[in-house]
Amino acid sequence: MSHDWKETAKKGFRFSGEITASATHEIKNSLAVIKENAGLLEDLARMADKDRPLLPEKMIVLGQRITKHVDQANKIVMNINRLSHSTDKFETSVNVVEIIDFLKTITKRLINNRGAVLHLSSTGKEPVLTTSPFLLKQLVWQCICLLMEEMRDSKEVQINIAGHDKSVILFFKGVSLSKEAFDLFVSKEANALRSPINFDITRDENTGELVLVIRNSSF
Amino acid sequence: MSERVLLIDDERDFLEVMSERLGARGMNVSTAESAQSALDTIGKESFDAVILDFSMPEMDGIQALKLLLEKKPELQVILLTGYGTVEKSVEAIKMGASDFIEKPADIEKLVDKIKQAKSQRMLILEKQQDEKIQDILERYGV
Repeated sequence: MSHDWKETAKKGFRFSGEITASATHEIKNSLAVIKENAGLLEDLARMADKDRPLLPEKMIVLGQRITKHVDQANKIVMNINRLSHSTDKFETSVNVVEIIDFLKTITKRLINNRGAVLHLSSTGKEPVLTTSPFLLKQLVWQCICLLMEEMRDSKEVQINIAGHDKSVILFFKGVSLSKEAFDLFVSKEANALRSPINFDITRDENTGELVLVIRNSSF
Repeated sequence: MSERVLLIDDERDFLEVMSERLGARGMNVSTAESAQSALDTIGKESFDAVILDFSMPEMDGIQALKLLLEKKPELQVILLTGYGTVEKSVEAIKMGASDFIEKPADIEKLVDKIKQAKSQRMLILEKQQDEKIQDILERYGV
């Protein structure tokens, strides 16, 4: 059966859209703080005309606050730029820990908004593979989204990354999935990436936890 | 009398600077960094207007609005919205929000909206009081 690239593209656009919308919202929050601080400087300058002196300490605090939010916005812009450039090469050699750590950074707000917490750890060999850096992020994000939907009492997900010779295994600890939720995820979400990424996804029958095995691309 | 305003936003720097700017315009401002903290505050104090950031962690704007209005139906809630939230803003107005303004907001526009919210709240409270008086008059045949 031929691969449904339309479905892959749709999910890729959705992933990009979700991350961009979240990032622009964060930038907007920083811009709002910068704008209000600039407005406050103007207010204070106007009040100084009416015999209320400008206090140097106050000016320093406002300047520092503006700098802090310019830096925050700049970091977000850098991250979005980095994500965009991960499509420059369809396939390349990637360090899976670095990729997932970056994914954790760019999805922090989306994860926080759902009251969840994500932890990472790694063991074994250096987890380096040849694969699509963009689609790998998308696949792992889809797994995280599934787990956040299925969370019950605990809101924590731990991803243990284990490097092997020609593969990397991701153990998603902390959330037990029903067989139905897992099967639906595989057929509706994960299969859209099956051809471009060489992976297997399973559900631990004892714990219900997700296990993702990624291999060097055979694309 | 100065307007009493409750600002709800998870960004502490935003709360500090907005409090100062609204304060400089004669308003009495309280702040809350979460919807839950705002719910506690409105249980203890009265406000002419509540400025609610639409997107906060743990509880979205619609959910927060619903809980605030359940606790105090006469609250005048002005939403601070982000990009692409027009549909949600319309939904929020249908649910009882009094107005919305895009973030970063123009301070003078926001001040106008707070004053409008105060007038609206006064009308509601006056109407409630008239209804109570009418009820007493009817009950005692005065």
